[in-house]
Amino acid sequence: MLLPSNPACVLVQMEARTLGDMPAYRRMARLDLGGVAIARIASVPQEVTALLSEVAPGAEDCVQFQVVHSGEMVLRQGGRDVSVRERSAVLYDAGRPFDFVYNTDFVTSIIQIPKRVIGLSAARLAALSTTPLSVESAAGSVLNVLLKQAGHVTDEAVDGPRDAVAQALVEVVTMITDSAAGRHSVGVLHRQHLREAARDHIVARLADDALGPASIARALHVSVRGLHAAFDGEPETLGRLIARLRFERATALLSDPSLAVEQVARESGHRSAAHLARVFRERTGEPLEQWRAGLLGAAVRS
Amino acid sequence: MSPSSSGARGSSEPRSGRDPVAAVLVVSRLRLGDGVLLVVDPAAGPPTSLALVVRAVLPDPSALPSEPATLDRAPGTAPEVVLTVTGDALGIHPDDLQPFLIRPAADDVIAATIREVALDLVRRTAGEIDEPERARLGAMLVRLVAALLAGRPVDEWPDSDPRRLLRLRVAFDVRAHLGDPGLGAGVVARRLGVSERSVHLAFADGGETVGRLVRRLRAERARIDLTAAPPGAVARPAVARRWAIRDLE
Repeated sequence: MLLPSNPACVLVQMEARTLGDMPAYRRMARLDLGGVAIARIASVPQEVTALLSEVAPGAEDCVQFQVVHSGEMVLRQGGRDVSVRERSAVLYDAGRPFDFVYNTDFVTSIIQIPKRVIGLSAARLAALSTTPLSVESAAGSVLNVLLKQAGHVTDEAVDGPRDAVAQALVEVVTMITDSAAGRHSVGVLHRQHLREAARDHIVARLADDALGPASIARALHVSVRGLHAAFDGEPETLGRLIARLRFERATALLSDPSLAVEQVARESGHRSAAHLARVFRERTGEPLEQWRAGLLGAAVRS
Repeated sequence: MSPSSSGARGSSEPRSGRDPVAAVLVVSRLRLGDGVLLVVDPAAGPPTSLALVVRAVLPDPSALPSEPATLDRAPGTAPEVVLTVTGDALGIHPDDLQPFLIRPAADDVIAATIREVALDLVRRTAGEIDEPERARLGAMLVRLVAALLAGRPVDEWPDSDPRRLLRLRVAFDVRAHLGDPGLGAGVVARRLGVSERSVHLAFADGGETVGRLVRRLRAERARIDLTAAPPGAVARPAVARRWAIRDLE
């Protein structure tokens, strides 16, 4: 069931669909504290997608710090799933596409903060958004106190209390994120930077038949061992990443009937047409020429 | 500065010449960084109000009596959280500081926020909050205190020297808005309802200018973030952006 959206209550326009046929409810409240906005939501299991085409002006320059008070959620952003359990939080970029999945009834608070105020670089923000953050520390406890107090300040006629509570919230959020960055930065940030840089290097040099761990490590000024270590625990090794990106480039080029298979093989970094054909059969189970004939025949028929 | 009698937002206690904090007998206390001390008397029941003490240095917590007792206040006064902040943490120039104690109205939102945060913190055992976390929580509380004092009406600050009072109010406002990139004498003057010229005049007696005060307090606040964070956790440019510092060395 598609839940109705209330633009007055959310920070970024979202499309929410319930999971299952149970009776649905959704209690939402939004507070504006100067440059900081807070939404509190309690609802049933659901999938939520941010509609960034309808993002409010300025929201794309914000991060969101989301605390799960009860229940659990999965944040999906940048091709990653981050599972956030009760009494945990997650920080993410409100300007990039993101989805939530709540598999249980939940209560959550979302604090939207301008990126400048948090001060994190894009790379650090990207790295921090890959991991849930604990809010069971003293800072996390104070955060909950401040969220509660924030509900009392919106009736104030003057800006002082609103600003004061908003800035206190920001200070506590930065405490929590700085602390998390300290636990993860040296390893996670370095490895993530290395993977991203390696991928960029590979994409730019797919046709280079000398492309491999040694040349990438040289270009990135790291050891081959260090480069491989950056892919430890990842779903794909460096070698498999290179092979997949080459195959994806080849299949994109093969759909162009003016290109010979030999040329496609060369431009995608495969040793020969025969090598490309073998790789193609291994990955798809189908002969390359047969697949291409079918693709081109379909194009002619249409 | 001499304390005032009661006002709409709360009351100030007359100073009797005694150290206002030394008169407080407590069992729960928590020092947060160099500039903040929380004291609560748990035996007196759940505190419902806040006493705010500003003085040059924090009292030595170990020198305070260790048995539950009462706060030095009028009979029937509700149990309270006592928060002591140093003038230095608030950005007050040492020459301008005269210790004072105020009791904001219980329904003041900022005071209530300070009280609730303080209560949450003192409920934790001492080992639960490490030193870096204490320093940053202390800095956060100082900012709330500065906002509270900056919003305090002028008629609740009787002072024989209007220039010194204005310097104090400017310091509180600056301390409460350090992250504002446009922070300067003009912005502060508008918020305080005075002319920019009067702000500059108040600082013309020597010491430091408003601009220098802003830079000093921003640098101090950035130092807390950099030293409190785990090694490598926070990049200097990030802290510089956070506190609107152009040239963080």
